Amino acid sequence: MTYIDMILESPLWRCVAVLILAPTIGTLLSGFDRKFTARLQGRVGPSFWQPVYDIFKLFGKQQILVHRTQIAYALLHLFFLMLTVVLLVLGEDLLMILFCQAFSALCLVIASMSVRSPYSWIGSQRKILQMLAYEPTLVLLILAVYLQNNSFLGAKVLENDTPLIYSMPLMFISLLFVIAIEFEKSPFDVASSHHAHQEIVKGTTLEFSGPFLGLIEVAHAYEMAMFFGLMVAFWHTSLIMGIVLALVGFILVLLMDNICARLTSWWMVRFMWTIPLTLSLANLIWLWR
Amino acid sequence: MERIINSLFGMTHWVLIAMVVAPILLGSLTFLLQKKEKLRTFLIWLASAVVLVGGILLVWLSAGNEENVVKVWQWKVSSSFGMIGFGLEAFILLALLYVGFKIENGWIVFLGLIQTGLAIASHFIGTHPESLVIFRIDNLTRILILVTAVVGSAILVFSINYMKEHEKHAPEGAGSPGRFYFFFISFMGCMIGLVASNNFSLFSTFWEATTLCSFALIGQDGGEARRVNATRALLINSFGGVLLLGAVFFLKLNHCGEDFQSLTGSSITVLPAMLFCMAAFTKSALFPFQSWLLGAMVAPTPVSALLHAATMVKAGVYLVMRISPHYSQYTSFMMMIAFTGALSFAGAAFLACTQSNAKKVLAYSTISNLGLVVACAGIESPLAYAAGLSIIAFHAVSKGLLFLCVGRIEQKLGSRDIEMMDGMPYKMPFTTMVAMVGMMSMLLPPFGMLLSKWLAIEATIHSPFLLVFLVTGSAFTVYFWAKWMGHMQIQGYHPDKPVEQISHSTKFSLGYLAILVIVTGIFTMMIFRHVFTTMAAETFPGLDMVAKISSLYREQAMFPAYLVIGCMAISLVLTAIFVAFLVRKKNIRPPYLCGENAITIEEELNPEKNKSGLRSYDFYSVGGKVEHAVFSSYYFKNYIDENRVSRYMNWISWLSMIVLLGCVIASIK
Repeated sequence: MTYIDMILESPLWRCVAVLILAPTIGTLLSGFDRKFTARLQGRVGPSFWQPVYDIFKLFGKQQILVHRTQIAYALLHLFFLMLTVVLLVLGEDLLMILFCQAFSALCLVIASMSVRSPYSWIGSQRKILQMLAYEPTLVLLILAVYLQNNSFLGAKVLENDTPLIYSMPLMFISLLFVIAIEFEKSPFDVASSHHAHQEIVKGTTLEFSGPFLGLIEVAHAYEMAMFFGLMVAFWHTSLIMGIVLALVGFILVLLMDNICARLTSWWMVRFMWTIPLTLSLANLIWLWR
Repeated sequence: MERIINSLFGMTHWVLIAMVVAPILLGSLTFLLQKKEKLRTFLIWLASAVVLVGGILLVWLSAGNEENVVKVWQWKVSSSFGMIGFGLEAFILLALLYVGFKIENGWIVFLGLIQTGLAIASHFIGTHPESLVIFRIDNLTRILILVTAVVGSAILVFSINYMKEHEKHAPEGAGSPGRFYFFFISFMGCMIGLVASNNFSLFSTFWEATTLCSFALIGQDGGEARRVNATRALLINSFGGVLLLGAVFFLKLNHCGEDFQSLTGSSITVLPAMLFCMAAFTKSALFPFQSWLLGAMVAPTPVSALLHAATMVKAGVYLVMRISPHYSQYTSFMMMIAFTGALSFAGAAFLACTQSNAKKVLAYSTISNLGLVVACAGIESPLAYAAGLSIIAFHAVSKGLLFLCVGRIEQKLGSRDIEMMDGMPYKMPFTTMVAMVGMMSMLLPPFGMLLSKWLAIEATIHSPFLLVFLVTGSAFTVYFWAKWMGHMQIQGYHPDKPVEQISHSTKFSLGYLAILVIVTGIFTMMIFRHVFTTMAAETFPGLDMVAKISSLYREQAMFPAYLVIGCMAISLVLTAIFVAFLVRKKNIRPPYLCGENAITIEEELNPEKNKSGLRSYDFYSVGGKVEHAVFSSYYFKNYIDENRVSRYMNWISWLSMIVLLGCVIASIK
């Protein structure tokens, strides 16, 4: 127990802990995703630990690459996601955290645009459209947190007595759509998907293979953990309720993934700028003081 | 030594005069000696040094020495000197009329006549005060002087090589390089005069002078398109001049005085303040006056750089920043100013997404950022004011750098289309690197532009209406920059580092601005805290929000910025190490295409075997036929028509202008 206290109190140890824990949680979530999806589709599905095996296997493979720049930007993508997670755990300014996340997404876009592959190119064009689609909603989410707590610092959220979900239910719904985009779930999986038999093959990550694809998978695990953490933060007063809420949200996203076909990127932008954005705005007006 | 320095402080007004007159003299000298190329180059270097050193000296001297720190430096003269200002004003208005007659444009003559009438009327009505403060340098002015001096001098150095190349392919009927340099160098002198002058007749003299300089420079290359665009710039800015002089006339009519101190915030001065703001909108090319700045891209690129980064459009936002703090009690007036700015911010960013012309993207991005400055000025909070100030400064450096890069790329590639910028890291490694720095500084942490946008959003939290514009505008900003940055990075594998052929002056100017961008990026937080926040706090002494600024800049808020910078540095180093040790040449493969790649691995690894420089996307299709894959970024040409959207935007902006007028009339009663 004393060790846990020590880790929770020291910012440095908190960072180290989250840097190790986050990808673990992320991969476990994808394991859950695969198992759940398989059961929905009447399959047995792979083992719960399959994504972990996959990542380790990727790191053992031969390197194949197109050029150096691609690898450099992929590394920056990972590093900036790690930074985003660290800043979040330290309870820093939420807008700054969002900008770091945007930088990391941008690095992946540049990496996959630089490789001269048409599929990768189209994928990254759609990835930028995805950013355009979800960014305003996320900014509004942060502004709503400000109105609730009178501070942009993430740490201040924890000082609040009532869970955020009571005052920001609509924000939670629009966050689910953002998460569906971030996790590349249907109908929003336009940039890249889990299955390499789409019209743009594997999209953004097409030209990455072996250990470099492993890097991007790790980064994705960080991202999943981070957004899962955001959902948990909606019920910060009780960890168990928070996790239950986040799991419910995650399952809803998975259900949507399974019952929807992928739609066009243009549709995605229109949808995100109408329904989730207006829901967020409505919630923002509700919180107005 | 001390005595010399102390006597220097007494000579501040001479330095100021020199800063206005020396560029004009050096420009004339360059004009006269334009045939002697060596001497001309020397004169340009000299002018650039004079502008840079003089500007910094002026800022330093006007701030006073250590025992005697001067917040505001003033130059007071007896009222008989007012005649000099009036004489200069009359001279410049006659020049405007002459230009109007020469290009046979009735509208310009008409607007020129109105301006002359207003100028004469405001000189002869009302009472003249005992003494006049003709020049006044405070912190806002100092920032503008620094921007002009630091960025302007770099652009001037860049233009040496650019104009040499440009002369070789200059179209028939283009103006001589001497003419170009006369207006170009004088422009900087006029700009420094404009921001330093306090008396309205001097201010409008320099205001018109910058208008005329920009007219001459846009029309530099001759031809129909240039003529039309130059005329449009002159017309719109003359309209701005009418508004400006109308405001001056109104102030004189009501015995309010004839300098910026007369804008005290009393209800009688609200109408002139609004006219000043509208004049500023024309100069800053906000919607609905944006067309002149978009047309201005027909000029040689250094001119665009000068207009967008160092001078001209900055004069407009300067005027708004100068006026707005005094009128914060007129809520609806300020709200409409902020709304007009926010509309330009989002609208221009939206239109930038639909453009593939690099210069047009930059132009829309400028309009968008100027809109953000105006929005910041309209939100009555010191936080937003500080954000506005920092956008003026950081935007100047980044945008100057980007325009110079585009100018260089355009000269090398023969195209300013973003879709043509393939394989840039191979063709022009230095320029590409520098341009990437410039683009990243426009939207990414830890650079100043992002910080300012961040603070602007945090400051608008209490006006939801503006918030929607700011949030969507920033999303569009990310969109169009990301497309361009990705395009600049398209490349094949290169076994060796290519070397770029680049002249010393070009490399110097680009490198100088890039280093400036990086250094200001690293110290953003510090600059912000010690310069802009202090200034904003001084500007809004009465508001309790000053306490809020300082609470925002506690050590914690400093911490993430340095954490970001630190992590960025570490990740760059780690990335370099990983790439150097992990990447093996034997693992290189050409990209995956729809069929077998037509490029063999030997060709991929040896660029000299491949003629096109950038390796193509050819692949073997059905029956061994070679197919060529072509792709481009999304520009939504089918969905969004630039002209139509501009028309809607202009309509909304004109409506907001009318509402602005309505608000002012309501506040007078």
